[in-house]
Amino acid sequence: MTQIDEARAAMADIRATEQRLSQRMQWPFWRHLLPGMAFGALMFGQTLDHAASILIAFGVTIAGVLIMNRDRERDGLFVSGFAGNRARWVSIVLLVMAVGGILYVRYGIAAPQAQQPVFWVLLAVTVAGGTAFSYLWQHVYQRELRGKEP
Amino acid sequence: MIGAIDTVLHAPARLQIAAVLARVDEVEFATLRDIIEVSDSVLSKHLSALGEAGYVTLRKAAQDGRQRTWAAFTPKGARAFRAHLAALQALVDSAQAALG
Repeated sequence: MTQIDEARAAMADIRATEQRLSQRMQWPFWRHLLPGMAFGALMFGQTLDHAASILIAFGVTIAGVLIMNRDRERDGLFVSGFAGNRARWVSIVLLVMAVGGILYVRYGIAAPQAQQPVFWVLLAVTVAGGTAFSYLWQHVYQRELRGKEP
Repeated sequence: MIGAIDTVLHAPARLQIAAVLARVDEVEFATLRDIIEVSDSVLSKHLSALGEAGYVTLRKAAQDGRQRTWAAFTPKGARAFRAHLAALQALVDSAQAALG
Protein backbone atom coordinates (compact mmCIF):
# COMPACT_ATOMS: atom_id res chain seq x y z
CA MET A 1 0.00 0.00 0.00
CA THR A 2 1.43 3.41 -0.96
CA GLN A 3 1.53 6.46 1.29
CA ILE A 4 -1.28 7.99 -0.74
CA ASP A 5 -3.43 4.87 -0.42
CA GLU A 6 -2.82 4.91 3.32
CA ALA A 7 -3.78 8.58 3.51
CA ARG A 8 -6.98 7.95 1.53
CA ALA A 9 -7.87 5.00 3.78
CA ALA A 10 -7.21 7.09 6.90
CA MET A 11 -9.45 9.93 5.64
CA ALA A 12 -12.19 7.41 4.85
CA ASP A 13 -11.88 5.96 8.38
CA ILE A 14 -12.25 9.44 9.86
CA ARG A 15 -15.38 10.15 7.77
CA ALA A 16 -16.94 6.79 8.73
CA THR A 17 -16.23 7.47 12.42
CA GLU A 18 -17.77 10.95 12.21
CA GLN A 19 -20.88 9.50 10.56
CA ARG A 20 -21.29 6.96 13.37
CA LEU A 21 -20.91 9.81 15.87
CA SER A 22 -23.56 11.87 14.05
CA GLN A 23 -26.11 9.07 14.51
CA ARG A 24 -25.79 9.53 18.28
CA MET A 25 -26.43 13.24 18.19
CA GLN A 26 -30.23 13.16 18.27
CA TRP A 27 -31.94 15.09 21.04
CA PRO A 28 -35.67 14.77 21.82
CA PHE A 29 -38.00 17.81 21.52
CA TRP A 30 -37.98 18.60 25.24
CA ARG A 31 -34.17 18.83 25.18
CA HIS A 32 -34.36 21.42 22.40
CA LEU A 33 -37.05 23.28 24.34
CA LEU A 34 -34.75 23.75 27.36
CA PRO A 35 -32.49 26.48 25.89
CA GLY A 36 -35.59 28.43 24.84
CA MET A 37 -37.10 28.02 28.32
CA ALA A 38 -33.83 29.07 29.96
CA PHE A 39 -33.58 32.29 27.95
CA GLY A 40 -37.31 32.88 28.50
CA ALA A 41 -36.85 32.52 32.27
CA LEU A 42 -33.92 34.97 32.23
CA MET A 43 -36.04 37.42 30.23
CA PHE A 44 -38.99 37.07 32.60
CA GLY A 45 -36.61 37.65 35.50
CA GLN A 46 -35.97 41.16 34.15
CA THR A 47 -39.59 42.10 34.95
CA LEU A 48 -39.13 41.20 38.64
CA ASP A 49 -37.21 42.92 41.42
CA HIS A 50 -33.42 42.59 41.68
CA ALA A 51 -33.41 39.72 44.22
CA ALA A 52 -35.94 37.65 42.25
CA SER A 53 -34.01 38.29 39.03
CA ILE A 54 -30.78 37.00 40.61
CA LEU A 55 -32.63 33.98 42.03
CA ILE A 56 -33.93 33.09 38.56
CA ALA A 57 -30.45 33.51 37.04
CA PHE A 58 -29.09 31.21 39.76
CA GLY A 59 -31.85 28.66 39.04
CA VAL A 60 -31.08 28.74 35.30
CA THR A 61 -27.37 28.16 36.05
CA ILE A 62 -28.20 25.14 38.25
CA ALA A 63 -30.54 23.83 35.54
CA GLY A 64 -27.71 24.22 33.00
CA VAL A 65 -25.40 22.06 35.13
CA LEU A 66 -28.15 19.42 35.54
CA ILE A 67 -28.75 19.39 31.77
CA MET A 68 -25.03 18.87 31.10
CA ASN A 69 -25.01 15.97 33.57
CA ARG A 70 -28.10 14.47 31.93
CA ASP A 71 -26.46 14.76 28.49
CA ARG A 72 -23.40 12.93 29.82
CA GLU A 73 -25.49 10.13 31.41
CA ARG A 74 -27.88 9.65 28.50
CA ASP A 75 -25.54 10.10 25.54
CA GLY A 76 -22.20 9.01 27.04
CA LEU A 77 -20.66 12.15 25.63
CA PHE A 78 -20.85 15.90 25.98
CA VAL A 79 -20.74 18.46 23.19
CA SER A 80 -20.91 22.12 24.09
CA GLY A 81 -22.76 24.48 21.79
CA PHE A 82 -19.42 25.92 20.77
CA ALA A 83 -18.14 22.72 19.13
CA GLY A 84 -17.95 22.52 15.37
CA ASN A 85 -17.26 25.28 12.90
CA ARG A 86 -20.54 26.54 11.47
CA ALA A 87 -22.44 25.08 14.44
CA ARG A 88 -20.46 27.38 16.75
CA TRP A 89 -21.81 30.40 14.86
CA VAL A 90 -25.38 29.20 15.36
CA SER A 91 -24.74 29.29 19.15
CA ILE A 92 -23.08 32.70 18.98
CA VAL A 93 -25.99 34.20 17.00
CA LEU A 94 -28.51 32.68 19.46
CA LEU A 95 -26.56 34.03 22.43
CA VAL A 96 -26.28 37.55 20.97
CA MET A 97 -29.99 37.65 20.07
CA ALA A 98 -31.10 36.31 23.46
CA VAL A 99 -28.88 38.68 25.44
CA GLY A 100 -30.05 41.55 23.21
CA GLY A 101 -33.68 40.65 23.88
CA ILE A 102 -33.08 40.37 27.63
CA LEU A 103 -31.33 43.77 27.75
CA TYR A 104 -34.13 45.30 25.64
CA VAL A 105 -36.73 44.06 28.14
CA ARG A 106 -34.70 45.52 31.02
CA TYR A 107 -33.86 48.92 29.51
CA GLY A 108 -36.05 49.37 26.44
CA ILE A 109 -39.53 48.56 27.71
CA ALA A 110 -41.22 50.79 30.27
CA ALA A 111 -41.87 49.21 33.66
CA PRO A 112 -43.89 47.28 34.58
CA GLN A 113 -42.78 45.33 31.50
CA ALA A 114 -45.17 42.43 32.19
CA GLN A 115 -48.08 44.78 31.43
CA GLN A 116 -46.79 45.63 27.95
CA PRO A 117 -47.99 43.37 25.10
CA VAL A 118 -44.59 43.71 23.38
CA PHE A 119 -42.97 41.95 26.34
CA TRP A 120 -45.13 38.84 25.92
CA VAL A 121 -44.50 38.79 22.17
CA LEU A 122 -40.75 39.05 22.81
CA LEU A 123 -40.94 36.29 25.44
CA ALA A 124 -42.79 33.95 23.05
CA VAL A 125 -40.27 34.70 20.28
CA THR A 126 -37.37 34.02 22.67
CA VAL A 127 -38.72 30.63 23.82
CA ALA A 128 -39.66 29.56 20.27
CA GLY A 129 -36.46 31.01 18.80
CA GLY A 130 -34.23 29.35 21.40
CA THR A 131 -35.88 26.00 20.65
CA ALA A 132 -35.60 26.51 16.88
CA PHE A 133 -31.93 27.51 17.16
CA SER A 134 -31.25 24.34 19.18
CA TYR A 135 -32.75 22.26 16.36
CA LEU A 136 -30.74 24.28 13.84
CA TRP A 137 -27.55 23.72 15.84
CA GLN A 138 -28.13 19.94 15.84
CA HIS A 139 -28.83 19.97 12.09
CA VAL A 140 -25.70 21.99 11.28
CA TYR A 141 -23.50 19.89 13.60
CA GLN A 142 -24.76 16.64 12.07
CA ARG A 143 -24.16 17.98 8.55
CA GLU A 144 -20.59 18.84 9.57
CA LEU A 145 -20.06 15.31 10.88
CA ARG A 146 -21.45 13.83 7.68
CA GLY A 147 -19.07 15.97 5.67
CA LYS A 148 -21.80 18.04 4.03
CA GLU A 149 -22.10 21.80 3.89
CA PRO A 150 -25.20 23.11 5.69
CA MET B 1 4.74 8.31 4.97
CA ILE B 2 5.97 11.90 4.96
CA GLY B 3 7.47 13.63 7.99
CA ALA B 4 4.39 15.66 9.00
CA ILE B 5 2.49 12.47 9.73
CA ASP B 6 2.17 11.95 13.48
CA THR B 7 3.33 8.45 14.40
CA VAL B 8 1.28 8.48 17.62
CA LEU B 9 -1.93 9.05 15.63
CA HIS B 10 -0.96 6.84 12.69
CA ALA B 11 -2.65 3.62 13.93
CA PRO B 12 -6.21 3.42 12.50
CA ALA B 13 -7.88 2.92 15.91
CA ARG B 14 -6.04 5.92 17.39
CA LEU B 15 -7.00 8.03 14.40
CA GLN B 16 -10.66 7.10 14.93
CA ILE B 17 -10.40 7.90 18.64
CA ALA B 18 -8.91 11.28 17.73
CA ALA B 19 -11.67 11.90 15.16
CA VAL B 20 -14.29 11.50 17.90
CA LEU B 21 -12.38 13.53 20.50
CA ALA B 22 -11.95 16.36 18.00
CA ARG B 23 -15.75 16.65 17.70
CA VAL B 24 -16.82 16.37 21.34
CA ASP B 25 -15.84 17.96 24.63
CA GLU B 26 -15.73 14.66 26.47
CA VAL B 27 -16.73 11.04 25.75
CA GLU B 28 -17.31 8.06 28.02
CA PHE B 29 -15.24 4.90 27.51
CA ALA B 30 -18.15 2.58 26.55
CA THR B 31 -19.61 5.12 24.11
CA LEU B 32 -16.21 5.60 22.47
CA ARG B 33 -15.75 1.81 22.26
CA ASP B 34 -19.15 1.46 20.50
CA ILE B 35 -18.37 4.23 18.00
CA ILE B 36 -14.85 2.98 17.22
CA GLU B 37 -16.03 -0.65 17.20
CA VAL B 38 -13.09 -2.13 19.10
CA SER B 39 -12.80 -4.25 22.25
CA ASP B 40 -12.36 -2.78 25.74
CA SER B 41 -8.73 -3.95 25.90
CA VAL B 42 -7.81 -2.46 22.50
CA LEU B 43 -9.42 0.88 23.37
CA SER B 44 -7.75 0.90 26.77
CA LYS B 45 -4.34 0.25 25.20
CA HIS B 46 -4.72 3.04 22.63
CA LEU B 47 -6.06 5.53 25.17
CA SER B 48 -3.06 4.81 27.39
CA ALA B 49 -0.69 5.44 24.48
CA LEU B 50 -2.47 8.71 23.63
CA GLY B 51 -2.37 9.68 27.31
CA GLU B 52 1.37 8.98 27.55
CA ALA B 53 1.93 11.22 24.52
CA GLY B 54 0.03 13.99 26.31
CA TYR B 55 -2.75 13.97 23.71
CA VAL B 56 -5.60 12.75 25.91
CA THR B 57 -6.72 13.26 29.50
CA LEU B 58 -8.63 10.50 31.28
CA ARG B 59 -10.99 11.20 34.18
CA LYS B 60 -12.75 8.72 36.45
CA ALA B 61 -16.26 9.55 37.68
CA ALA B 62 -18.88 7.57 39.58
CA GLN B 63 -22.16 7.04 37.72
CA ASP B 64 -24.98 4.66 38.73
CA GLY B 65 -22.71 3.18 41.39
CA ARG B 66 -19.96 2.37 38.88
CA GLN B 67 -16.68 4.04 38.05
CA ARG B 68 -16.68 5.31 34.48
CA THR B 69 -13.78 6.70 32.48
CA TRP B 70 -14.14 9.87 30.43
CA ALA B 71 -11.68 10.89 27.73
CA ALA B 72 -10.98 14.32 26.28
CA PHE B 73 -8.39 15.85 23.98
CA THR B 74 -5.70 18.04 25.49
CA PRO B 75 -4.84 21.22 23.51
CA LYS B 76 -1.65 19.42 22.41
CA GLY B 77 -3.70 16.45 21.16
CA ALA B 78 -6.13 18.70 19.29
CA ARG B 79 -3.23 20.53 17.60
CA ALA B 80 -1.51 17.24 16.70
CA PHE B 81 -4.71 15.87 15.15
CA ARG B 82 -5.24 19.02 13.06
CA ALA B 83 -1.65 18.84 11.81
CA HIS B 84 -1.98 15.11 11.08
CA LEU B 85 -5.23 15.70 9.20
CA ALA B 86 -3.62 18.48 7.15
CA ALA B 87 -0.71 16.15 6.27
CA LEU B 88 -3.11 13.40 5.16
CA GLN B 89 -5.10 15.88 3.09
CA ALA B 90 -1.89 17.21 1.50
CA LEU B 91 -0.95 13.68 0.45
CA VAL B 92 -4.37 13.05 -1.09
CA ASP B 93 -4.32 16.46 -2.83
CA SER B 94 -0.83 15.85 -4.21
CA ALA B 95 -1.99 12.56 -5.71
CA GLN B 96 -4.99 14.24 -7.32
CA ALA B 97 -2.80 17.05 -8.67
CA ALA B 98 -0.41 14.48 -10.16
CA LEU B 99 -3.35 12.88 -11.97
CA GLY B 100 -4.12 16.27 -13.44
